[in-house]
Amino acid sequence: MTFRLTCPVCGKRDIREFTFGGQERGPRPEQPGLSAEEHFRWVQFRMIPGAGAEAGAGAEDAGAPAGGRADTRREWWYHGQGCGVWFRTTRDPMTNREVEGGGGQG
Amino acid sequence: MAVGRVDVGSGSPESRGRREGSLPPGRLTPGPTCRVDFSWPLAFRFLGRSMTGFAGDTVASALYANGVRVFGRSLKYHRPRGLYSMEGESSNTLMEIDGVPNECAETTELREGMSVRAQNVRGDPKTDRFAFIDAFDRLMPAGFYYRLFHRPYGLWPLFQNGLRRMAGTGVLDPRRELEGGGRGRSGTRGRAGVGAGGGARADGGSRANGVQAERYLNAAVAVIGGGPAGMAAALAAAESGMRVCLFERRRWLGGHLAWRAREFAGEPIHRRGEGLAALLLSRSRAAGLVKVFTSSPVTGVWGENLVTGFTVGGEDHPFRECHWECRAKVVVVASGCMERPLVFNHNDRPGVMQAGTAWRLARTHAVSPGKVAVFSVADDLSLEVAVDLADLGVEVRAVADAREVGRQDPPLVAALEERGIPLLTGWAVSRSIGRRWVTGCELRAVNGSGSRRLRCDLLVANAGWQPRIGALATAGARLAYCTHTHTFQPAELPDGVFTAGSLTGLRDPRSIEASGRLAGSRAAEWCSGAAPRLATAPRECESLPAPEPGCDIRHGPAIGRGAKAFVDLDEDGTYKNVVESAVQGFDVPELAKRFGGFGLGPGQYRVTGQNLAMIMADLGGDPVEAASPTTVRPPLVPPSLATLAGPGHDVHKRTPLHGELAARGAVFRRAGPWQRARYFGADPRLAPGVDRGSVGGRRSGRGSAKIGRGSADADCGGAKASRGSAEAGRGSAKAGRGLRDEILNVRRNVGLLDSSPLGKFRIFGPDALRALQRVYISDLSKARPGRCKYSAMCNDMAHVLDDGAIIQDSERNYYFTTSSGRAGSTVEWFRYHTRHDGWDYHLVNLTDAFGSINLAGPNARGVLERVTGDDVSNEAFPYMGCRRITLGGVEVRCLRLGFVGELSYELHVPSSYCQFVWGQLMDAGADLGIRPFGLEAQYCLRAEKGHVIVGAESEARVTLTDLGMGWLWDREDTASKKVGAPALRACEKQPGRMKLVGFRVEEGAGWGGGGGGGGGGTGISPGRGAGRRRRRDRGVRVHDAPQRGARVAVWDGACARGARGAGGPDSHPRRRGAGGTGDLVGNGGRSPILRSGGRETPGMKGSAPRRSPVVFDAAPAATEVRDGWIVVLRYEEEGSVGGGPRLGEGPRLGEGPRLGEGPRLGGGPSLGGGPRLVDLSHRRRWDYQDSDIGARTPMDLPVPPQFGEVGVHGPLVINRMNRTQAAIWHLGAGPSPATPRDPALTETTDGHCMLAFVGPGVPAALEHLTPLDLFDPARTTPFLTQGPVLRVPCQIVTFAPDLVVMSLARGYGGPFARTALASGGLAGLQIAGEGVFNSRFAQM
Repeated sequence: MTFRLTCPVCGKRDIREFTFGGQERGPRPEQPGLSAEEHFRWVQFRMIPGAGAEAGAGAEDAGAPAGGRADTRREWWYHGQGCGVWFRTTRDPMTNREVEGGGGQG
Repeated sequence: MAVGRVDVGSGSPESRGRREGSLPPGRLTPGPTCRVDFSWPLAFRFLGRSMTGFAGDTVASALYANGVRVFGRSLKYHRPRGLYSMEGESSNTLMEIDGVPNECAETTELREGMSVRAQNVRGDPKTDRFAFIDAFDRLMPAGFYYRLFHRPYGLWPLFQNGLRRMAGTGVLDPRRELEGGGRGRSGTRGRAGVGAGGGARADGGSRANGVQAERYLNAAVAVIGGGPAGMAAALAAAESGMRVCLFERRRWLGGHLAWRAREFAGEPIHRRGEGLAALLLSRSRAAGLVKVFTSSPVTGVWGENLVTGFTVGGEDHPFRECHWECRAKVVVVASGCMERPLVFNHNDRPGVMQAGTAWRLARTHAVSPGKVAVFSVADDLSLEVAVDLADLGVEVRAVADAREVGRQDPPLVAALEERGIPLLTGWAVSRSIGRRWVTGCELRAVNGSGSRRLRCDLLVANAGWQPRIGALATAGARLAYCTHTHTFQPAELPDGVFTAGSLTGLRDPRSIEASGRLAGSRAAEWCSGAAPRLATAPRECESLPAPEPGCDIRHGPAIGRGAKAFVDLDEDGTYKNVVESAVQGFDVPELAKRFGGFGLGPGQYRVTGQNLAMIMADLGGDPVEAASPTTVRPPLVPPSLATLAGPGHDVHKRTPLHGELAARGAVFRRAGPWQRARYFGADPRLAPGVDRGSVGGRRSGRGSAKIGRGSADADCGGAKASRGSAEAGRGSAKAGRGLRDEILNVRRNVGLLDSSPLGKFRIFGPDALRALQRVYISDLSKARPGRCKYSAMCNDMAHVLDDGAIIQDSERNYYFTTSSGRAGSTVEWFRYHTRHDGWDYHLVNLTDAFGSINLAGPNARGVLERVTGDDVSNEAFPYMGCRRITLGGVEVRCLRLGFVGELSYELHVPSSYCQFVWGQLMDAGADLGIRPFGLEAQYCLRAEKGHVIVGAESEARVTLTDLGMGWLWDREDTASKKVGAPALRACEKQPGRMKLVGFRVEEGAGWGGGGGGGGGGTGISPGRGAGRRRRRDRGVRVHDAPQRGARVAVWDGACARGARGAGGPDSHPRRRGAGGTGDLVGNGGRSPILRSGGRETPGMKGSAPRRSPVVFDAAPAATEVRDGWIVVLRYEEEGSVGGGPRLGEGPRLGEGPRLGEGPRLGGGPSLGGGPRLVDLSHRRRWDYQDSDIGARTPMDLPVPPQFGEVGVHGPLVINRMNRTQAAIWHLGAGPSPATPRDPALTETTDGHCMLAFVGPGVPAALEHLTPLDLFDPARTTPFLTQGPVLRVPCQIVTFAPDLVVMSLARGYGGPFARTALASGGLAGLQIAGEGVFNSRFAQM
C-alpha cells in the first residue's frame, strides 16, 4: 500500500519521505507533582481506534470502536527526507487517506 | 518521448518478405500487418534441435512455425500443452530460455542463439515420461494437497518432497540474474556488447548496476493500454495541455487494430491504428507532453494512482528490464479485452487455441495456424477471424456459434456463406479428439439436440470476450456482473480512474476510439477543473453503436462424462474439481481458489476468473449477478526478481579523509550511512590474531564478531550493522598485529583517528538553552565559552540514547556534538520534544561541514605544538577545554577530551581543509612515529578505560543510572520538563536493576577471543525477564579486547541481580571454563573523558588547498584555483558530441538526449547535446534561520514569501525552505561576497555538495534518480523542491528544464555523483566542467 501525506511546506509527498511520530497526545505534562503513573500513561497510552475522542487523559476509557470501524486519527509526522518539519495531520487508517491537510508548524 | 521500441508497422509486404515461392516452411505470405522480417533469420535451439525464426518473431511463434505443437506439460497431470494464447494468459508456454526458467514464450522476443527448453517435462514434451500421471487423476481431487498424504503424518515430508520435485517448474540461478547474462544478448544482430552485457559493465562490474534500471515518472494522466481507445485518450488529454504517459504491453501500438485487415469505413482497419500511433508519436516528439512506453506491462495500480510496471529492454536499450513508477493524477484504463475460454471436454489439448492466437499467428507472424480448422465461438470478431483465415488459405470446415440465430453480424454471415463455410448457430464444441494434439472434434447443439464429428488440426474455441480487469481491480474498482454484455464490469470506479475502449463492452472501432477521446478529455477536466475542450465527444458517443450483447454460455455441451474440462490451465483445475470444491463447502470463488488452486497460477484471473465465478454461481443455484470474480493481485505481469530488487545502488557517506585513509591501507566497514576505517594495512596472511594458538580460529572469529558488531551498533545506533558482523569477525582476526600496534602506538606514542561521522550541531536563538535543557539530562545553563560540558540524552523511558559535549559559543548560541549514530536523528529529536512549545530556536547540522580528527596519545601535544602557533599548554588549554586554534592558516575548533583514555585533542576541521590538516599532522608527527588508528583500536582502547559506548554497553532497557552515570542528571530541574527525568526518578531506586561493571583480565589469560554469552551484539541477552529462570551464563555481555587481553567492560547480570557489588569473573562459569582469571574494576561512573597535561612550542604556516567531495576520473583540460579550491572549467573530450567523459562506460538510452522535453539549449557551444553533471561544491552557501524571516534581508536579499520560492539576485540565489529557514547559494561566476556578521547566518559551504544538471535531456536523466516532480508545469520556475534524490535528502532548485542545481550533505557527495552518473547514464548523463554551468546560468 502506498499513500501520500500533505506536508505543510512541501505539499503532497510519498509516504516514504516521512517518519511517524505517533498519535497526538497533548503537550508534555508539567513535572512538579507528576506521579510515575501519570507519566507512564502519557508516554505509553494511546487513543483506541474508533473511540472517537482525542488521545490523552480518559481516551482509554471511551470504550470499544464505534460501529467496529477504526476512526480517524490525529497524528504527528516528520518530513525527514524533505523540509525537516514536524506537522499534524488527520488520517483515516482504513483508507490511509488524509481527512484534512496538515496544520503543524512550518 | 518514446521509450520502448515503437514499431508502427509500415512498409509494404514486398520489402518485408521474399516471394511466395521461396517462403520458409510453415509460413504464410506476409500481409500488410506482418511484423516478421524474413530477410533477417535468427537461429535458435529447442531441445537440442536447431531451428530458424525471423526478426519480429516471439519464441512461441517461431516454435510454432517450426512445427512444435507440444510446448510443455501441465502441472499436475502432465498433460501435453500447446500454444493457447499470445499474451501469457496461461502457463502453457512458460519455458526455460537461456537458462532462466518461467519465461513466457508468447511474449519473449526471439533472439539469435537462444536456447529454449520445455518445463515440467521429463524428456521430450511430446513423450514426457510422467505422462502416465494423467490416468491417476482420481488420486488428485480438488484440494488433494491438503487432504491426502497427511496420514500418517510422519510420511508427509516424504510426499511433500516428492510432490515438490514433480511439480517443479525450473531452477533459478541467482548468479545468472546478478550477472545480467540471463537473456544471452551476446552477438545479437551483430551488435555485440550493447545491451545487458554492456550495461553490466557500466559501473565496473561487481554488481548489476545499469542492467536493472529504475525510472520515476510524474504525469497528470497515465493511460494503460496503447490500443485505439488508449491512444485517443492520450491525444485528447495532451490536447488539453496535460502531461501524459501511455503504457503499452506489446512492442507496438494499435491494440487489436494492429492485425485486422478488414475494410472498415473505406480503409483497412489496421491503417486507422497506424494513423493514430503515428499521430501520437509525432505529438510526443513535438510538444513533449506525451511519453509513450511500449513493451511496458503494468504490474499494478496502487494508492492515489501510482502506476507501476516495467519496460523490457530491446536490443538498443542499456537495461534488461527497467522498473518504473508513474505518479499520476488520473488513470485511464483502456486495457481492452481478452477471450473468455470455453470450458469443454479436453479443452487443453494442443491445437485448441483462442481465435486471437490463430489470427495473430497468421497476421502478425505469417505463421499458418493449421490446415483444417473448426471454430466454436460466440462473437462477431471471431467470425471475422474465420473469414480472414479462410482467405489466407486455411480450410475452415465449420463455424459453431453458441449464440442464437439472428445475433450475428449479417455481413459476416454472408461472407461465411460466400466462402462455403457452414455456420451452426446455437452450437458449440463438446470435446476435442486426439492424443497429443487435436485431430478432430465433436460439435453439439447447446440445447443437446444433435451432434457432429469433424476432422481438424486446429480448433478455435472461445465463449466471447471478457475485459482485462487487472489494472482496474488493483486500482480498487468494484466489479459487478453486467447482464447485457455478460461480463464483469466496473460498477464503481475509484477517484481519478476512468475506463475506455472495448473493456467497457464496446465492439465497434468508431465507438472504441470515441470512448477513448471522451475518457481523455474527462481525465484532463478532472485534473484541471476546466471544461473539456472536446465537448463533442459525449454527443459523438451517443450516436455510435453501444456495447453489444454478449453470450452467457458457461461451458460446452455434455461437460464432464469421463473427460477433463479445464477451468484453470495453470493449476490443472477441472470442471470436476470445481464441483468437488463446491461439494466440500468451498462454494464461492474466493474459497474455491484457495482450496482447488483455481486462478493461483501465473495466469491469475485471465483464463479462470469469469468462468469460475459463473460456474460457481450455477452450481450453487445463485444468480450470476451476485457472483464476483476472485481478487486480482499485483504483479499483473511478473517482472524478474532482479528487476524488483533494483539496481542495488549503495549511496553511502564518506568522510573527508576517505582518500587519505584508503591510501594508508584502511579496511573500511559500513557504520550507519558512513564508510569508516576499521584498521590499517595489516596483511591478513601475515598477521594472525594474538590468541589464535590458544583459542582457535573459530572462537576467535566469534568473539571478534561481537566486537565488530558492538562498535557498529555504537555508530549506527541500531541493528543495521548486524549483516556486517560476520565479515567484521573474520576481519578482526586478520587485523592481527597491525591492530595491536595501532593500540600500543596510542597508549605509548601518538595516533590519529578520523572521527568525522561524529554529530556536530549549532543551536542558537532566544530559546536555544530551553531546548537544550529539555533534551539533555544535565543542567546546561552551566555550559560556558571555552569549556566542554559533558551530558547525555535519554528518552521518555529514561534509556540512554546519546552522549556528547556542549559548548557555549556566545550568548544564546551553542555548539554540541552527538555520537555518530545519532547525528542523523538529532534535529528530528529536538524538534519532536519541543513540538508543542513553539520555542524560538534554530538548529544547523554541521556534521558534514566539519571533519573530526582525534589526535591522541602521550605525544599528542607535542605534535599539535609543531603545527600551531596557539598556546596549547595544559595551563592555557586544560582538560575539557575548547579553543579555536589556527593550523597552517586554517581555523580549527579544538576540544580537549579523550575517549581513548590518553591525552587527546578532537580537531573539528572544515571538511574541505581536512586532507590538508591531516597531512600537516602526519608530517609533524612523522619522526615521532605517528600513525592512524581505526575503529577497532578505538573500541579496544576505550574498553580498557571502561568508557561506555551508548548502544554497545547499553541497550534499549538501560537507563542512565544503570550505567552509573546518574551524576549527569540535574535532579532539581523540573521546570524545563527534561525528557526522561520522570522515568529516571521512578526507576532510580527500583530493586533488581542491572549495573555496569568492569573488570581486568590478566595479560595472556587466554580467553581473549571467547567473549561472553551468546546472542546479540550489545546489552543483556534475552531470557532474563521477570519470572523466567535466570541463566547466569547468559547474563554477561563481554566486550573484550582480543588483541590485548587486558581490561574489559562487562555487564554482569549476576552481580546486579544477586550479590550486588560482589560479582566478578568468578561468577561466570563459562569464562572460568575458558581459563580466564581476573579481578573486578569499577567503572565508577566515569565519563569517557580523561585528564592529562602538556606545554607549548611555536607552530607553522602554509597555504591551505581545499578539496571537493566529488572527484571525477576524467582529465581536466582547463582549471583555475579559486579561494583554495581547484576548479575544473572544462574536461578533455568535453564538447565532442556523444563522446564526453563519463564515470563508467554506461551505454546511452537512445531517446533520452534526442527527445529532451525542454527547449533546446541555444548558447552552449561546448554542450554535446546531452545532460551534463557539474560539480559546484566549491560554491559558497549559507544557511539563514530566523523566526521572523519574512522581515529580514540576509546579505541584502529579500526573503521570498512562499515556501519553495526562489529569488535570483545576480550571482546570489535565495531559497525559502520553510517557515524560519532560507538558504543562500552563490551561483554566479564572479567572486563570492564575504560572510556578513549576522548571528542568524551560518556558512555551510563545507557541509554540502552542490551539483548542477545542465543541458537538454536533464528531465529524462533525473527520472532515473528521483520520484520527485521537479518539472511540474503548475509551478513557476525557478522553484525549490526538498526531497530525496537517490534516497538522499536534497534541496533542488529547478531553474529551467535544462538547468537544475541540487545541494546535499557533503558526505554523500562522491558516491552520489558516481551513482547519478551510472543511473543518469541511461539517459546520457555525462560530466562537464564549470564552464558549461556558467554559460547557462549567465542566461538566467
